[in-house]
Amino acid sequence: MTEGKVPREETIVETLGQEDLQRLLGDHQKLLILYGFANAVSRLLDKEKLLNEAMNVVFGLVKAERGAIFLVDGKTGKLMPHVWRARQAGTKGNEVILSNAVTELVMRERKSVLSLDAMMDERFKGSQSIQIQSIRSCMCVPLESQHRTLGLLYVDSRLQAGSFSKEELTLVSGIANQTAVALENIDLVHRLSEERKRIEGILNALTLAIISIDEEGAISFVNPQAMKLFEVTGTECLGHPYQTFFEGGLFRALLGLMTPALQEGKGVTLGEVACGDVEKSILLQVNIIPLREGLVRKGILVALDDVTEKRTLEREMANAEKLSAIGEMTAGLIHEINNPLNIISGRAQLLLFEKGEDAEVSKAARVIREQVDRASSITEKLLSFARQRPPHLRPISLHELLDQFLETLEDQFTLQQVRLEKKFEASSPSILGDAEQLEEVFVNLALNAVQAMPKGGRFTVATRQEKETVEISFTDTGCGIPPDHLSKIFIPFFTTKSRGTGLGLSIVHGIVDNHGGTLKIHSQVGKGSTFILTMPLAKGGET
Amino acid sequence: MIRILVVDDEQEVCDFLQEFLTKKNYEVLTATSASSALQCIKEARPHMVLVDVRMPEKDGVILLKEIKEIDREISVIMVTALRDEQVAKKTLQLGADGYITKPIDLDYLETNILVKRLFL
Ligand SMILES: Nc1ncnc2c1ncn2[C@@H]1O[C@H](COP(=O)(O)OP(=O)(O)OP(=O)(O)O)[C@@H](O)[C@H]1O
Ligand SMILES: [Mg+2]
Repeated sequence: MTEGKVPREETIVETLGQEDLQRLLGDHQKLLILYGFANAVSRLLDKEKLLNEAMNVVFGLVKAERGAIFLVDGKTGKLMPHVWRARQAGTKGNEVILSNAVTELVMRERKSVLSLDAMMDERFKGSQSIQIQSIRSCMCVPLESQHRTLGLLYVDSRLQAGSFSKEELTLVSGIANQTAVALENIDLVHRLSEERKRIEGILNALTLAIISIDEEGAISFVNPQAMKLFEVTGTECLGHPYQTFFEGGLFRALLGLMTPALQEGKGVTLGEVACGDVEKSILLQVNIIPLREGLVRKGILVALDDVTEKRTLEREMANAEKLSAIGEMTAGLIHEINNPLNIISGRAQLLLFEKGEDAEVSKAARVIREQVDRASSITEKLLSFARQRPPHLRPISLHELLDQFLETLEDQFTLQQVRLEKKFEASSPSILGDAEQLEEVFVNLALNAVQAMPKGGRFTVATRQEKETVEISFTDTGCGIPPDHLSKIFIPFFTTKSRGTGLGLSIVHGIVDNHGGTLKIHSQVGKGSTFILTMPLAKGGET
Repeated sequence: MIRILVVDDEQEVCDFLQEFLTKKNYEVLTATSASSALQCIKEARPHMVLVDVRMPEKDGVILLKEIKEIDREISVIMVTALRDEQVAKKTLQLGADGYITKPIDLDYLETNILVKRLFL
């Protein structure tokens, strides 16, 4: 051992030379040594270090030739050597063989034994080990805890009878007592830390976020879930006052629950507490448990369950169910409406066919038929709005699909004096989509554009490929959308047209959403509008 | 003369289709249920049947199957008040020769029949 590294506890006696010790130690010094030992061991948490230290001190105090400390093994109940010492070179410490006669006496009586000349001692008559080892002086002291004997401390001398005095026995007993107390402390600390580890293990394994706050208001424990929830590390919050943590942050709402719990020791179990700010909102199930020791309050334990995702999922599922119920109901309703419409329209057509020459009849029949068709096209749109089925996703060549649908609208463009412009990427991106549904999206956007340009104009369809998405934009030079309408145009039945259902964009929105795409709008009143559709690319990119 | 059977649970529908098709020189029979339709098919052997998809008791899809089992040569045109791709696909797979929606465009119906007639 180098000087600088020697721990303080181990050096108390070593620094004193043996000869000096003999000379200098009066009662006063002995007391000092005892005191120093007591002081040192109270801070030792290592069993072997403690026992070594005890042995050192004993060897410093008495003229022992050999010494050892034995502890009772917790499992076998047998005495096992832990530390041994020999003063003379050539004598190995581990040769110390305990005399059963001595130890049995000590363990049985739970009292120390001092023998001035063991070989002559009446108490050990017939003990072979004493005779074989020719032990003259010996001292054996039990390490007594409150309830049991932890082991024993043994020193002897084979050279000389009467090596140890009664006074020295008292001194060594004092060392043994200190050692026993320290041993018990070590054991207790060990057990406590094991228990703590076990409890922390449980708390860490929980999906609940757990924080404990002591009676002073300092955070004394956080588990990994809590650190994740609060986005902090242990060192950032442990020991800090809880207020600084919850004030002003996302979890302000919790503060109002914790403070009374801490002050009044009242537990709180709350269904759900909404936490958050403009950007983020979190739904927490809160359980605050006051901790007590007898009647004394010992702070609180806060258990939080983040149920945000669970609730969102539940709501989405409920919405989906509602939607499908509405879809079914609408389908039934439309069926009921279309049947009489069919008869009305059929009769009108028949009338037209039979009495078509009569101008009045012909006009009336034609109007009836037109209006029936109008009503039926509304029900059709309502159906596709209400029956948003999940898309059958397949890789689709985007340009091919766009070309196809633009072709079907060619006549309409000409009729309305709308010039069509295509600005496509060089190669067609492949997107994941449901061709039928996407066509519905395109048709709705294109018809809106045409309807926004009653006096004609330009309609531009452009594609632009990004890393993982493709942008499809539809630009018209029409009337534009007033800013205060922008937030409303996706609301079902919102329309500014005398013959519109206001369902077109709602259908578009639903389909785009189901495809994992997004829709953005730029519009300027009097200049025109651009609807930008962003769709995920199919793996593999181009087709 | 080409014989056409109109099957719809609503008498009114049967009526106007019968009037129209009679004027167009077809022989028209009507039935307001699947069972009476089957009986009529066995007795009168129509060349073509217009079948309403949704009917109480037995619906049009089942009737379609049964007609095709009796005689694959009989043309069947499905008529529905509710556009539904799934049902459309299914009926076409089952051998339907056409699929039109209500309100029926009579001109469109007639062209459909005319086309089918070419193959009769
Ligand atoms: N390209 C556009 N230019 C100007 N306004 C538009 C454009 N597209 C949509 N709008 C506005 O948004 C409203 C809602 O459009 P949406 O397609 O949902 O219904 P609609 O077109 O009114 O009815 P329908 O689609 O049944 O014909 C329109 O009434 C119109 O005011
Ligand atoms: Mg529209």
